[in-house]
Amino acid sequence: MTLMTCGPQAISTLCQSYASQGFRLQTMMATDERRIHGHYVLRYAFVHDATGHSVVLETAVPHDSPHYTAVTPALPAANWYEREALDLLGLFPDGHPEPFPLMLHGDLAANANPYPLRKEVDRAVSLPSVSRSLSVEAVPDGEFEVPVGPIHAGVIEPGHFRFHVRGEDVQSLDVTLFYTHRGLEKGAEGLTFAEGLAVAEQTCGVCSASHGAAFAQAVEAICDAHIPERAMWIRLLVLELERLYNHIGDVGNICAGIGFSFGVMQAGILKEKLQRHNARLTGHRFLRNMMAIGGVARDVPSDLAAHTGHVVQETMSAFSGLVNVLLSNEIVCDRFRQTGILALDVVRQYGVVGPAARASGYLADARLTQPSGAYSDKEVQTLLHVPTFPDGDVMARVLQRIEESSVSATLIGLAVAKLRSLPKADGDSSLVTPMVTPAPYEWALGVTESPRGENVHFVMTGPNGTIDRLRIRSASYANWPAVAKAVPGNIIADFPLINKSFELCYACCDR
Amino acid sequence: MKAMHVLASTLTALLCAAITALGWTALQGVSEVFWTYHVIPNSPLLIVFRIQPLAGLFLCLLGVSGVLSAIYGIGYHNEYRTRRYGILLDLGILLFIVAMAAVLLAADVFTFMLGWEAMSVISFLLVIYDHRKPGNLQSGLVYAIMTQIGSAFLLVAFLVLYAYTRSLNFATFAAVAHTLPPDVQSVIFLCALIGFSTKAGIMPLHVWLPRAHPIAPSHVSSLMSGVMIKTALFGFLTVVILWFGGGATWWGLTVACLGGVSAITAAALAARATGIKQILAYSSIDNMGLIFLCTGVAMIEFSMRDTPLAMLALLAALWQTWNHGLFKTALFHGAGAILYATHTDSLNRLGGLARSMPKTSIAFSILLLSWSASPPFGGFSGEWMMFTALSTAAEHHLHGPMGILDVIALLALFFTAALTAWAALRVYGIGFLGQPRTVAARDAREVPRTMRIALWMGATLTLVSGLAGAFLIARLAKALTGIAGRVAPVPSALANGPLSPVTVPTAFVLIFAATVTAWTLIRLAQGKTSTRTVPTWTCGGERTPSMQYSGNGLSQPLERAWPLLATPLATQWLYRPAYAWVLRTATRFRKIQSGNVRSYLVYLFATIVLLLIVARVGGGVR
Amino acid sequence: MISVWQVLLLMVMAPFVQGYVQWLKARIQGRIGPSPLKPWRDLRKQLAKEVVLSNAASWVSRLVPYLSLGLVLGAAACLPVLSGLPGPLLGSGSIFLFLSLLAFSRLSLLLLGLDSGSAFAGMGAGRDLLFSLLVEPTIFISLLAVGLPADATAFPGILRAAAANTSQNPAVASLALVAIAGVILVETGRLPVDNPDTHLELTMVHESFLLESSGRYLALLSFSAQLRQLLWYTVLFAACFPWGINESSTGAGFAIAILSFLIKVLFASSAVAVIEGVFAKWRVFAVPRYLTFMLALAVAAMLADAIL
Repeated sequence: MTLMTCGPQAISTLCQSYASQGFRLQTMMATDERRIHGHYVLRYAFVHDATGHSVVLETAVPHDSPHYTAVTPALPAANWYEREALDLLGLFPDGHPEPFPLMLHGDLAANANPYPLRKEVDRAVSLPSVSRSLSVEAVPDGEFEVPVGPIHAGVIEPGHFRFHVRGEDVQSLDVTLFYTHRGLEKGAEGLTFAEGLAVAEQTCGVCSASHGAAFAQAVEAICDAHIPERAMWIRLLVLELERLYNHIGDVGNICAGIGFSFGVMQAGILKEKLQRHNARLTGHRFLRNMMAIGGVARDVPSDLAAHTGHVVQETMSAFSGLVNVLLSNEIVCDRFRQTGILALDVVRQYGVVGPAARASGYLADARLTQPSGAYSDKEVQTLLHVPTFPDGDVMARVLQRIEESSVSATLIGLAVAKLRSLPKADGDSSLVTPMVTPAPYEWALGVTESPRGENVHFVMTGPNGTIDRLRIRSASYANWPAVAKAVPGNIIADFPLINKSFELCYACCDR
Repeated sequence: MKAMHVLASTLTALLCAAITALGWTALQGVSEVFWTYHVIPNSPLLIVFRIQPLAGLFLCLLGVSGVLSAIYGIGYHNEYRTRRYGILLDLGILLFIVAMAAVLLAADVFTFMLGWEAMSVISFLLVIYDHRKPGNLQSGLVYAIMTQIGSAFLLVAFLVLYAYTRSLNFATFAAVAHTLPPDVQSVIFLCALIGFSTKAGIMPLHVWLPRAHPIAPSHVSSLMSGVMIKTALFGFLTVVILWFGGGATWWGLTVACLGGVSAITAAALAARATGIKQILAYSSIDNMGLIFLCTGVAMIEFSMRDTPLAMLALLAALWQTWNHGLFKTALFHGAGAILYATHTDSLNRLGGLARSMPKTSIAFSILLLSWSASPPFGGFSGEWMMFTALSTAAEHHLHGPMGILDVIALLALFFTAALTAWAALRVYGIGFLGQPRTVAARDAREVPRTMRIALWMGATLTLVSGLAGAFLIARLAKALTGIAGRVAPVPSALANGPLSPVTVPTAFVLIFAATVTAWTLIRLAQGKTSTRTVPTWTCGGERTPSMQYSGNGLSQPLERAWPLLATPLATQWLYRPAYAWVLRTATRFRKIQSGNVRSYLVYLFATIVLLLIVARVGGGVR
Repeated sequence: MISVWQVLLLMVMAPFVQGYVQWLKARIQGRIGPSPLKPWRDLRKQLAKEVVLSNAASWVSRLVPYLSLGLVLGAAACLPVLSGLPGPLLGSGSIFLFLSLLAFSRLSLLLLGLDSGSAFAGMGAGRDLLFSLLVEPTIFISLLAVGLPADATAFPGILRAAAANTSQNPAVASLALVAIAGVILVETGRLPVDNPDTHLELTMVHESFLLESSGRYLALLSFSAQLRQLLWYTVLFAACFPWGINESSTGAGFAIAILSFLIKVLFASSAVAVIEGVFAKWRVFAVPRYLTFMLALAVAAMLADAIL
């Protein structure tokens, strides 16, 4: 990893030069380091997906005049990050094209906002919430708006979608999220790493394991610790199981978008079977409490591992039957094809990650570019044939998940074999490498590939083995802006389908 | 000034009442009565009027529509009170009605053409009454040009007839016309078709109609859409049925095809236009299309000597003429009320009028139901007659090629009905319901009482036409018996259908009873229940008026599913190329030309009148 | 008198048919599903609840629930259910009157939807209008194809013609059957055209008009919808399966008529449940293509009349 520093006015140019070399903006961390250096710090993390080379560009923003040149005009991917830094820390991106609140649904200037991530602000303070001004204000003659959410008729997380339409055709879409902003990052400040892990796992319901792993990896990187081999393989097993039940469940959810009850029910059954097995394996249907700093919290005995292999095989054969039915159904294929096309350009501009990026022909997978633990194993890398699809439509995203499921199943098979051949764990403590208390104000990034794409956790240590700053960039956070770009040009009735084909999470985006 | 205006309106209303009475008498089937006047004493320039059963229906329509418009005009006039010479509008309307009556009563070519030209010129002047508004003058000129082209063709038709019969008398034509050589008959037919269908708004000669009707003062639009375009139908029926007895089969085929295409295309355009008056104007074209479709079928049946079927189709055409005239007159009054209250008729800028002007809106909703052929209103009765006529014809020719034509005609009827429902729903659902979209719509208030009275009279009449349809159709059928020298018994197919005097009233009473019973039962079962009002659900967000479907939004599925249907094809494929050609040619001739279009129109009128006088004098001297 | 009994029978059965389809569909999907009697219980519950109206609503929202029920009942009185012999209540059961009443009730429902100014209702209205453009011609032409050879534009005549058709002219009968059945799926808001179970407002057609209705109004509107669904089944039976209808008005004849009607309803609703179980929903703009095909079938039935 390369680290570069520059002034707050030069950051835009520097970011642009990396972006033009094919680097993808992975995340941006804004931290209040006034107590340490007397200024705020912005860190733009880039990764080159083809080579795995990563760069962090750092700039100091003075505390008395917290302004810097916005990167967004040159690199749209920075849009949300910079608006978030404005909302939470009061750092002003000069020249930002949409300088209005993102997370707080309020007018900063009017409310004399106590920027919550500043260190002097108590975490008990409640934040203002007023109606947000929308980016499209005037409605042209004959057009109108369709508001959907934040309260939905189904069991759906809160998000407000405002369509600008002329009849059925969507002209543009505004998305307002962050209704479930829980202040997790503020809450994590001052916690121990073990407590921080619990926070990280609870960022998201369905990507608990990958969030936990990303956090653990960041801490381990700070401490320069290596985890036991058996723990490495257990992590891989859990992460791939998470991917598998998510992908199969998502295929079912996509069927719900077109009212195809057969697909919904069948995938629902498979997902339920996998989740019951999850509970048996880890004690939690959503694979929680499995990760530990420096290893894993619980062993997977070889008989249970063998059973896992069995369940996964059964599920996969049933799933392939479902896939056959799905892909031979004319209506299903007609609905999936050419719907919600996400252009490769948009993927590049907005730094889209995960299956959504790969289904548009952009190969970005943290398992390949920034592998850690068992993923760097040679055998795993040879088996890891991550597919891509060029079309970028709903069909591509469905096929992407189907293909990735079988890759996951293969990896699970390998992990099962390893766990059976490796020596048995000598009690759960042998699965964790003991950690030394790290120096304060050290930081590192932890990157995992969740079912929805790359999760990036930034951890900066505080004194006495506590967390000073945690920045969670979930895959959903990176991909939500792209959803709004895939919808215009489609008819409004196809939106639920398009939205489900991304199957993004609200909670881990809002934090 | 105000008193003058009320006086003029009252005079007009009285005149129209007299015209109605005259029409009703004519419908009794009185023998023809002639009146002759010398334009200049002892000169051969005569004006000859006569009264006959076919004109009876049209006179009734003119009278009723005129009475409504006159009453309406008393209040509506406020809209134009800032204008000088406001009385000219009243005078114009009076003269317009007189001219239309002259057309319906004319007994020879001179009288007819004089009335026809007067009708055209006066209506042109009334259309451009608001000439200061941008674009209005141009639209008016399109009307003037089209109407003069139509008149020219009519004149040719009459001159050809004159050449062969050496007479300008309609009675002579009726007696001799069908003995003319077939080619000559066809030429006359084609000229009459072009001439009359221009005025009737049949495609592709309709282009003036959706331009001119929306810009005229609303009670003028009412008279134009409700009555004037029907005078063209009257003229056409006079020529092809009274004189030629239906003509050759291909005549009817041509008329039916033009009618069917007009009906579907115009209905689709009505379903997608944004201005209420424009929607109503397109809807007039589609109704005239249906009427011509039935007329065409009647002509075919006449040519195939199937008189009962022909009479049935003709009856359907005439009955729809009456009903359309009635509800369209009143609908234009309703559109005028919206204009009066909000100064806009664009659907995208309206909304919520049902709450701010409830009395107007309920009357309008009745008219809307009639327009969309909902039982038991007049429009429904008219459509049922057309359905009966066409399905009887289809049944009759089931095993022949004509059967296929009749099925296509039925399809055209159904498509038009569905599209009309779409247009009607848009006008009411977007214009009257929901939240106001603009300040103008929010601040709308009820219109003056006279306007409401006229609206309610129209609504009542269309309900009466629907409920008492059977009696009125029977009266019409009786009046038409013996038309063109043929005896036509009322076909038996009607006995159970629209001609059954009990069906529609029974349905009305039953549905009313069921509705009231349901209401009473629920009231009894529930006792007094609370009703809460809350803002319309927007999924937990704030509500703005822009969160409702717009007029364009509601028609967009049509445009997307059938883009061709929703394009003004005639303008695109016929008039634009023609216009471009004329422009190119005109630039070549620019050197020898000067002056403006209006002076050329004056030349054109003058030439036509001159020709008429020459022909008349020539005829008289001989 | 028999007409009144027929209407009452339809009224009693309508919610049950709805419930049966829901139940069977759940079974096909591997769920236990709600009791077939649930729609009746829902109606009772809704009738007891308070009414919540939109503050944008006008008199339309208060009138339409009653009016649409009245119109559907009027249409029901046009139909032969048990007896084809004495003319039904209204105008000898003219198909034009019947379909006009249903069209009127559709129009009133659309107005109700637009009355609250909800964007979802507008969306549903646009789609419903788009579909109705082809639905109405198709149903007219199919019924005429069955009836016209016997000079019938009213249901009693169509019934007799249908009885003759199935033996003499199977082509007409089968083409009309497919066309009418295809259109019924659209008119009753079933998959693959509309998803009656969806909570996704953006994809709704028929459900969207009722989003702002509650209490007794919702009860009335749901009941009208259920009744309308059963009416469409009855139309299909009259045109394509006229068996078992009582021609002699004897007691035994009525017993057979009721039994055969029940069996036919059971078959029709089972077929609907199966279709809903195995089909996904079409794109909105694929429906007009499908309906055009149905219209073509109806016209083909008409041509079969002419040729055969």
